[in-house]
Order: sequence, then structure tokens, then C-alpha cells
Amino acid sequence: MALSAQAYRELAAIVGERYISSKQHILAGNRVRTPEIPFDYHSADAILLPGSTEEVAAIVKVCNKYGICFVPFISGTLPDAYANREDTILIHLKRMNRILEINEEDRYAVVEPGVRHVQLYPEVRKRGLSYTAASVGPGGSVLANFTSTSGDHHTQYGSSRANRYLLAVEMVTPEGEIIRTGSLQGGCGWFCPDGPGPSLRSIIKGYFGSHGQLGIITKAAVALDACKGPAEIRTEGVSPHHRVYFDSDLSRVYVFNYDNIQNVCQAMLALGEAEVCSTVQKYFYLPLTLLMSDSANDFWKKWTSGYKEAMSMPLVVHIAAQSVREREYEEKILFDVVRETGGKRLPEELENWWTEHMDYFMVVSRLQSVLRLGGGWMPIKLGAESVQHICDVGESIGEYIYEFTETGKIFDAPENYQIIPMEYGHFAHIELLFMWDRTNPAAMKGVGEFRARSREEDLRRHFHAEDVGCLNPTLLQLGPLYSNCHIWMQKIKESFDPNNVANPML
Amino acid sequence: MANLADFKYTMESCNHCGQCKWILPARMKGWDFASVCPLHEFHGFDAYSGQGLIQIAKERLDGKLEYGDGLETLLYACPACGACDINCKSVRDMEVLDTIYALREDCVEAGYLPEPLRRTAANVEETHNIYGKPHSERFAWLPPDFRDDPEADTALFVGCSAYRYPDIALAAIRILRAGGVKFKLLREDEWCCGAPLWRTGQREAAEKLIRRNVDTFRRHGIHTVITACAECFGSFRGGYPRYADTEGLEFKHITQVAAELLSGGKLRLRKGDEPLRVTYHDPCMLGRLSEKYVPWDGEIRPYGLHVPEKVWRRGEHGVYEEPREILRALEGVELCEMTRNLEEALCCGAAARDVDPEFAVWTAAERRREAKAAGAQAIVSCCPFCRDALGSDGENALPYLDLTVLLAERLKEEA
Amino acid sequence: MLYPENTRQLEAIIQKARETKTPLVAVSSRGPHLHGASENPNAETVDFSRMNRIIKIDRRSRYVRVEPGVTFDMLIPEVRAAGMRLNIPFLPRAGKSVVASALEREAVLIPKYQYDYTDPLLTVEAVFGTGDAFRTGSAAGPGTPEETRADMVVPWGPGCIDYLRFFSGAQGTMGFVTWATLKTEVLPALTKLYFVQAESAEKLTRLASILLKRRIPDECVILSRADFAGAFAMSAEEEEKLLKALAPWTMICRVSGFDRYPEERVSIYEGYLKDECAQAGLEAVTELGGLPGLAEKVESMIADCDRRETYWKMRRGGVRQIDMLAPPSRAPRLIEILENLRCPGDIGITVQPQVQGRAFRIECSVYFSGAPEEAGQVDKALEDAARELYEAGAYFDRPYGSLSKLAYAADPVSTEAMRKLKKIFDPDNILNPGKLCF
Repeated sequence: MALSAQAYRELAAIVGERYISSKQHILAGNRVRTPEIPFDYHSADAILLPGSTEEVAAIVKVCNKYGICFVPFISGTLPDAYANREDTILIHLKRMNRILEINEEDRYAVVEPGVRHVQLYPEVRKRGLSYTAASVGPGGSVLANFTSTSGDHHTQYGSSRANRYLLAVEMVTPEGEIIRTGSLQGGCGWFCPDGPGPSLRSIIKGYFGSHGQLGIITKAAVALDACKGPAEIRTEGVSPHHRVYFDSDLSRVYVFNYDNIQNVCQAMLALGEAEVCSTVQKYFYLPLTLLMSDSANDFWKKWTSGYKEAMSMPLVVHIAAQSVREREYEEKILFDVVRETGGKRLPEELENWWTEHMDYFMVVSRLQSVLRLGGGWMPIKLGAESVQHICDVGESIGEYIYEFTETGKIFDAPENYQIIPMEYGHFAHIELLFMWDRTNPAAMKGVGEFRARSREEDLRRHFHAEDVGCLNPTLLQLGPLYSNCHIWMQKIKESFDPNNVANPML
Repeated sequence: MANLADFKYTMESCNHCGQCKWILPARMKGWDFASVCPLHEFHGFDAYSGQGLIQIAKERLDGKLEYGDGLETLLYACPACGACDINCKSVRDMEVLDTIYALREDCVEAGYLPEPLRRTAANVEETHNIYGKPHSERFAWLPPDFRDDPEADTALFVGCSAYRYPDIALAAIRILRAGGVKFKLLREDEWCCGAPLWRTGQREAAEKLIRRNVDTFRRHGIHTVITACAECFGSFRGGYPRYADTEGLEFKHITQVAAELLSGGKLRLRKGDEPLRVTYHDPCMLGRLSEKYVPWDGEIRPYGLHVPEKVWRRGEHGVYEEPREILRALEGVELCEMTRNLEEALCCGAAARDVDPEFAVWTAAERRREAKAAGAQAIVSCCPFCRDALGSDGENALPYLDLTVLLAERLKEEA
Repeated sequence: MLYPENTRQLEAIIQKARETKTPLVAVSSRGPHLHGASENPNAETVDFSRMNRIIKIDRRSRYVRVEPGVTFDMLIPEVRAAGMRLNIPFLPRAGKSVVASALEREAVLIPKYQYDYTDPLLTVEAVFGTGDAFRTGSAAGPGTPEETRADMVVPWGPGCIDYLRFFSGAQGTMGFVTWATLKTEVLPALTKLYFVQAESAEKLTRLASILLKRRIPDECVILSRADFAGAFAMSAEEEEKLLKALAPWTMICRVSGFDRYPEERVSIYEGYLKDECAQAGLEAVTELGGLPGLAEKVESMIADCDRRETYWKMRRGGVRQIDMLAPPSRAPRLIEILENLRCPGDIGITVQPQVQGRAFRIECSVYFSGAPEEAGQVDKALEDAARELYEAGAYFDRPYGSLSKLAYAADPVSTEAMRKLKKIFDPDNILNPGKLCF
């Protein structure tokens, strides 16, 4: 059933004719299947571009009135940004793109949904501040990363996941009311996400965000850390060979290869206890080789000529010090730890790649090159737990992945997982990234099998490697194993979205 | 030129990552001037972007989309500036711009080429220039006593814009003369370069004209073609190899020649009258889209392996430095850079004006705003179409200077 | 009084209370109870003192898991014996429940380790007002705590809800916690204590903000003269001496070295500390006048709870408190308002930097005789001050008593949303009814 003419008119009256469309060629920009998804998306009935919180609230009220589902989105990178059923409109928030405030003294920034990492990051950096920009590339929405998706980043070892830095927000509920959280709710500005008493922050984001299922966040404040490094970014060269340098007296990168994840674990814990280094990360060798490559052909040359072996289990370390003496002190500890744990430093020509691409530690320029092998990719697990537990999860992958890599069902990169510690090693995040030949229609079967097998193996071992996600089929499958959280999630959903119009996925 | 189906791999590869819309992080400077796709910035919907267009192309290929309800307007409102293409290629092996070209061919075949572009094509067919002016007047601006070197194997291709801006052509002549470069003009044998045909999907007409032009060059014994028009230059390098064998032909922009002459000490310059702070606008067809097109007809194997290996046009080797070298050589001229420069330059919007004039005007004003924000007193470029767009009155008005003209005015002598 | 000994018993208590519509209020600390959260007429008290197991101390992954009856005096030495330290409030009561302290979002002494306001609380097991048990974060599953191999340390989720935040600051209105996991940190191999004195709190709050932005100090707290003297004096005479000797405001901070090259770390970080102090026109010193051996006393007390028979805040007999959160830009004005409070008794102010220097918890204590007449006057003065503080930007994020009215007044729509959640987790409104906005 398409949008009724009356409903369309009411929506158009809110945003203006210029910012609504139901033309097929406009809708085509947001419904074509992306290569990592095994099914076609539904087409939305219309796409709207509201310009304010009030417009968003008015749109949501119309949706409730007519039983129209809505899906809010900004960059549209994730599958949750598409219509998943009929009678759905897409609410594209890109016009709401102001940086409302950067408060240097109180160290926070307030943004609307359309502000991207390439916009906010340099603005705060100019002011000697920084934040962990999620590794999604330049067009990623800051607000969406902090509130609606996961928000993991390479540098969270010395800081933390976006969850910690999300402050007060303003949100339009699924019924079209405007609520505020934390100190904003208390009439005291943006600086605190919690309270008064128990927090509405609780329904904004858990491990992941709800992708609009509990409302549309229209403003968010994010906490800022001190920036260790230059305020202005020095870039040389032209795409694709940009080089971004930092001052090497204070900022250095070291990469060590390991042959055993338990040794990596030991290194991560030891460095964390010493509270040294800004980034410590066990990166994955397939994306790493892709980051270093100019094309798929270039990747294959590198992959088959020794990169795979040289960087089979790379521990990437960045020291960002406040003084030369501090850098020397941290280096001393780093080398001690690496020696004790059996790490071997990469050859200089490989390690230099990071020295020339310090944007790796900011907004990662070339991150999407992980998609270069055709676009068939899937990150799984994505959970977080203690460093030891997560390394145990990583170690177990080798017990079942070869069945899939050796038969060609997925790309042959069995050690392709990354582990990023947080808060100096209090916990860590794991991502197992696998790729498949998406030009082969039969490949999706293997993808599904591997994904299911990975989950089965984790459950069998009683590993916490994965979170339950938002209100989608995974939640129903895993919820009973996770304190019956699916029941509570559904109760919250029913309470806030009685007409089930906010990005329903079930 | 290839068919729409030849770009199925690109269409099916898009992960909607947004790289086509935003400045590359290595070049980010702040909130302002962070968008590289003016079409997306102005219109807002994702359909108005490189990502949107290749997904529209997919639906056309699958027979799910028809023209007639505004799709053709969207398709030609896109200035085909290549920012999306270059940014995508910084991380992916996809051909976004070529898919857009193929989609335009599809649109032409379906009979939906917008009327203004149809008229331009008719002009080119009938009068061999985009303006529909008499062909006989193409070189009317040439002084009656002008003599070129009929034995030269280098031609100066003045382009259709000489009708509007003969000062550019005259300036190019002055520079070449001052530098001792022997060249000739093709006069009545010079027809439109064909950019408005092949860039708008008019394949048959483009192929006919381009082959004719290449034959003409060969017939005149030309090995090197110099032009002062960025659009012509980009066509020769990025368009001509798609339709004709250009083996043995070298194409140069006047700024490349001038920079070489300057560094070889063959041009003497005088000081300007007033100090001037300028910014340089990189024309799309001189910058990121000016790399030589190398045809590829191979197989894409699993995991993206291209067999045989493909030569990718990623904008790295565009003409960026030479114009800047020239500006730095001009005493009293101070060069400041815009945020979106080099391969990330924002298009001036000129190519959209026939189909979406409001968008074109906005884009030009936006670019001028960026120039002013960089602290420039004037904006310099070397494309007559950028001159049309950026030199027009309107919001954020700023003096526009053509680099070829500016350099010629600073020459100390007369040849 | 009800004394559950395990989660199953608590589930049964709550289910029974639902049937009989009996309000319940939770108590887990030994007295004195300073905030009155546990006072509720007609309510049955659920006392968690018998749920007092230290379930786990994990040195490798740096956490502890404890039941609510575990108090600071029990836990601090056990954690120390394992080579670690808790991030504790400034001189907490010995009998204060560690879990309750974390749930109340009490200010912690080492703000560089505090990434957000719920830190160092990681995960909890709790029973909702429905009688259902639940575990938050990575403790949720898969499987039971006995089955899972996880350490149960990640605070977020499960899913898209931060269940931990239903219990944090909730005064037991959403559920009763049966155990909690808290972060611990490695015990330093070497520490060096510094004092920075100033005439105004503002100089010290600005300094603290900068120091923490650079992650220089471990412990960091700013005390008014009265609170410094009251905290560290062992007698009225000592207190008097200190009051005479101290500047109006003192910051206590410590830099640390860990197992590897500790002297070097201390040297580097004390260098940074001194540089920043110098830039602020202040001086970091290792000794303070007033009492012999004061620095050593502070050093030994700062990482422990208050083990005196009379809790230092009760030394006069009675105390009333008001506390608030403020960002660095607003803290000085709020402190000024508190300094000018007029009421019986002595006013002490503790300013605790939080969340890596991005906020301060300002706690004002009025120490008086305890006489009811005086109590009334103090209460009135604080109530009046609350309005002025609120208008100057004070955030009462954990409002006790009448502060709730102020705290929830600004946004009735959001308050109503909170009540929706209460209805889900405590549909019969039996858990500490009438508190906060419920």
C-alpha cells in the first residue's frame, strides 16, 4: 500500500515540497541491494529531509496517525538504514548538520545528526581536543556513531568506546514527543548523560544503538579528550597516495608481529597496567594489506608475496607523548614488554606505512579499502569482554574457520580478526571480518553457514563474543540466553512505540 | 564506449560508504567545505550523488526504472565532475563516472536527452561549435597579419570558447611565441573537440566527430596538440582514446607548456602593478579527469582481480602543479589554497547550467565563497567554462582571472 | 526487616511484596545513613547485610565482584592484598556498602580512571520490581554466571538498552542489586603526594581540569579548609590547629609509578604537575604546616576508608549535605554560593573532579550539633540555597528528598518517559515508592 495522498500532503506541508519525494528515481538512491546483503531491500514510499527537531516530531506524529513506519538515517551505510517492509518512509537527517557548540573549557561538542567525522574532527582538533571517531570513513555521522551504532575505533585502548563519551541528548520519541536526557533533562546543559536519578540515557544506547527503534536522536553532546598531536594535520600528496605525518619526536608507531594470540594478550595487559601508549591494537592482516594496496590486483601481489606472513598477527602500537622524555620512557617499557612476550618488529618498509598515514589514528582515510575485493564482507562477533576472554575467543576461531577457508566458501584469511583493548586493557572488542566472492551467487549460502557456525561455536564454549543487537531476529534468538533481555526490550518498545512505527524490524 | 551492462560490477559493488560525497579525511579542515559533491550538497537526496547514480543505473539495467519523470534531469544536472569517481577510487576498484557516462548513453538511446543538450549537439553537427555561430568566424579574432608555422608538428587547438573569449587564445599564442614554440592553427579544419557529445552520452555523434578530429590531426602531420581550454584537454586525454586510436599523439595544456618554458628560462616576466592574493581553482578536466584513458577489456575475477591488469585513472597525475608554478613565478602574486583543491576541488557547476540553472548558480557561488574564505582577492583558473561560472555576477562575486591571460600580460617582450 | 541471603530469596521477597502490595526499601550499608534514601514510611526494609560475599577478586582482568553487604572496610584490604586498589570516594564510611556507593554515583578519588559517571561500576545482577532477576552488560549471557566463561565486565547492554543505568542513581526504585562488578586498578609501586593551596577554589578547579585533561594525577580532590581539617584531624584540638594553618582551599593530588621504572614515571609526571602549577601561579608542595607528620597521615588515609569510631562527618553530632554536579565553567560560581551559606554550624566543601576533569561533584556539608532545632534551620538554609544553586547551573543528578522537585521540574515530558520505564520494571510501585519522580 503506497503512501496515501493525504498523508503525503501532510508530510510535504511539514518539510516543504523541495524536501520530500516519492519519485522512483529518487527512491532508487536508497533501496538497491548492497553487496553484503543476501536480500533486496524494500523500497520506501517516500524520502524526507527535515530541517529541525520540530519537523522531525511533526513527521513522526503523522506517521502515527496513518500507521506509516519510518526509518531515520544519515549516511545510509548500514542495512538498518533501509526500509524493511512496505508502508515505510525514510527520514534522511542530513540537513540537520550544525555543530551547535564546541565547549573547550567543559570539553564537549554538541552536534546535529548530519555532522560528519570529517567536519567535527578537524574542528575539535584545532582547539587541542579530540574524540574517538568511529572507524567508518569520512561520511560517518558523529551522532549516529555515538548513539545508534557501535562506535568502535582503532585508538580506544587509551580511551574508550563511544558509549563512555555520549553525554546528554535530545530525542524525538516514536510518538513524536521531545525528550531530553541527563543534565539537559535537568535544565543544566549538555555535560552529563546521567540522571536525574536513573537515566533515560538507558534507552538511548546499550552496547549498540537502536537504529531509531526507540526514537530519533536530533541533538547529542559528545565528550572530548585532550589531543595528543598536532592541531593542524600535515598532508602531502594527492589521492590515493596521501601522506599524513606527525612530529616523530612525540609520536611514533611500532608494529610487532606475533605468532600466538595469548602472547598478544599478555602484551596488551602488561602495557595497560603500565598505562603507556595511546593505541594498542591487534589489527587484522587482510584489511591491513588492503589499506596498503592501490587496487585488488596490487593487493593480490602483496598478499601472495609475503605480506600475509609478515603481518599474520600484527600488534600496532602508537605512542603519543607529551614530551620527548615521556616518549622515551614509554618506548622503553614497550620494548621490554614486546621482548618478554615474543613480538618481532615488522621490517621498516612495512612499519613506515603507518608513519606516512597517521590519519589511521584519526579519521581513517582509506578504511573503505577493506571493501576493495568486491564488497562482499561481513564483520561478526563484535562483542566486548575482558582482554583475556576476548583473546580466548580469538584463539578459538582457528578451530572451525579452516573448514570454510579451505573449501573456498570464504576468503582464505583464517586469522582475520582484530582485538582492540579499551581503558588500558580493562576490556577489549573483537571483530572477525570475513569476505567472500560476492560475484558468485552461491557464496551467500556459505556466508550464512559460517556466520551461524561462528555463533554456535561461541555459544557452545559459553563465550561472550557477541551482543544481541537491537530489536531484530537476532535478539529473539539470543535473548533467552541473555537474561531474557528480549522480553524487556519488547516491553520498552511497546511502551514507547505503541503503534510500532519506529523502524520495526520484527 | 561501453554499454551499461559493462558496469554491472561497479553497480553491484557499492556499499553506500559515502566516500563519494565527502572530502577525504587526509584533507579535512573543518565543518565548512567538507562536501565534494555539489549535486548532493544542493539537492540532498542520495539519488543525487555518485552512489545514487550508479544505483539508478542498476535499476535501469534491471528494467526497474523509466525515464520521463525527472530522471533525465537528475542525470544531466550532475556536472560529471569526477569528484565521486576519484574519491571512490581512492578505496575501491569501481568506475563511478564511466557508469554515469554509460547511463547517459542509455538515456540518449531511450530518447530522453534534454532539449538544451540536443540543441548544443545540433550546433556542433551543423556549425562545428557549441554556440551555433558560423564556422567561418571561428578564427575571426585572429589579427590579419598573424602567421603560424605551416611545417610545425604542433597545433594550438583554440576550442569553441575562442568565440567568447578570444583573449585566451591570443594569450596562448603570445606565450608560445615568446617561448619560441613553433606551432600552427588548424583554422577551418578545427572543429569542436566533442566534449559536449561524449560527456553527455551521444555516442554515435561523438565517435564520428572524434575520429574525424584525430584524422584531421594526422592529416596535418600533428604530433602534439596544445590547448588552453581545460575541457578540450580533458577530452583529448580522457575521452578520445575511448573512440579512436590516438597512438603517437600527445596532448598538452598551455600551463604545462608554459611551466616548462618558465623553468627553462625561456619566458621573461615583469612585475605586476599591484600585489594580489589569489586562489587557484583546479578545473575538473585539467585536474582529476585529465589522466589518459587506457581502454580495458578484460575479466573481473573473484575478489576483484582484473585480468589483464587495469590502468586506473585516479586523478593522481592530473595537471595540478604547473598552474601553481606559474602563479608562484608571478612577482607580487600570492597564492592561497582553498580547502577543496587539487583532486578534491569543488566543481564550478558550469556543466549543469543548461539543465539545472539554479543548481549551477548555487555551485558557482559556493565555490566563490570558498575562495573568499581562503582570503583570495581573485580566483584564477584556466578553463573558459569555469570562467563562465565563477566570473559571473551573483552571490559572493569575486574577480576571475584566466591564468593564460594573466601570464601573457606579464610577459616582458613581444615575439 | 528482611535479610535475604541470596538472589532466589530476594526474588521471592519481591514477588510476595507484589502480592501484598508491600513497599520495600533496600539498605546495605551500616549507619549512619546520610541521605535518607532508605526512609520510607510503611515500607519493609530489605537489609542486605547477610549478602556480604566477596565473590571474586581478579588481578589479571582487574575487577572485583561483590555482594551489596560488602563494605569498604572489608574490601579495601582484600583488594590491596591482591595488588590492586579500588577507585573509592574520599574517606568513605567504613561501613558503607561498596555496591551502594557505586550505584549512588558517589564521586571517586581517581578521576583519570573514570570514563563516565557510572564508572567504576561495570555490571550488576539485580531483581526488578517484577521479581525477575536480570544481569546487565556482558554479564547478561550467554547462559548463567556459572555457565559463562566471560568475566562479566563490560557495562553496556545487552542489546540497545543500558540496563545498568536503570539501577544507577535509582535509590532502589527500579530493582535491588544482588551483586556488582567493579573495576580495580593496579596498586602503584611508588607514589608521591602533593598539596596545592589557594585562596580561591576557582584557581584549583581550573588547575584540576587542566591536570586531568593531561591525565597527570591519580588521586585528586579539592577540600575547603573545614573539610580538610575535619577529615585529617584526630581530635578537636588538631582540627583547630589545622584550621589556623591551612589556606582556604587545598588540593591533594598524587602521582604514581607502576611496576616498570616507577621512579621515572613519578619524575615525569611530577614535572608536569609542577609546570602546570607554576603556570597557574601556584605551587605543589609535599609538606604542609599545621600538624607534624601531616603529609604521612594524609598519604596513609587517602587510599582507605574512615576507620574512626565516629565517621568524620558526624564529629559534631549532626550533618546535612547537599551535592551537585557542575562542569568546570560553572563550578566556581556554585562554590561561591555555598561559601556564602548562612546557617548554624560549620560549612565544609569537598570538590571532587570527575570523569577525567570534565565535571566536578561539589559536596557541601553543614556540621552542626544534631539538635532538631538546628537541623530545621540547616534544612531550610539548604533548601533555599538549592534554588539559587539550580539557577546558577547546579545539576542535582542524584536528588534526595525535596531536591527531586527541582531536578525534575525542568522537563515534565522527559520525567513522564522515566515513569513509563518505572511502570515496566516496577509495575506495582513497591520499590521505594515516592522517591525521585515516582
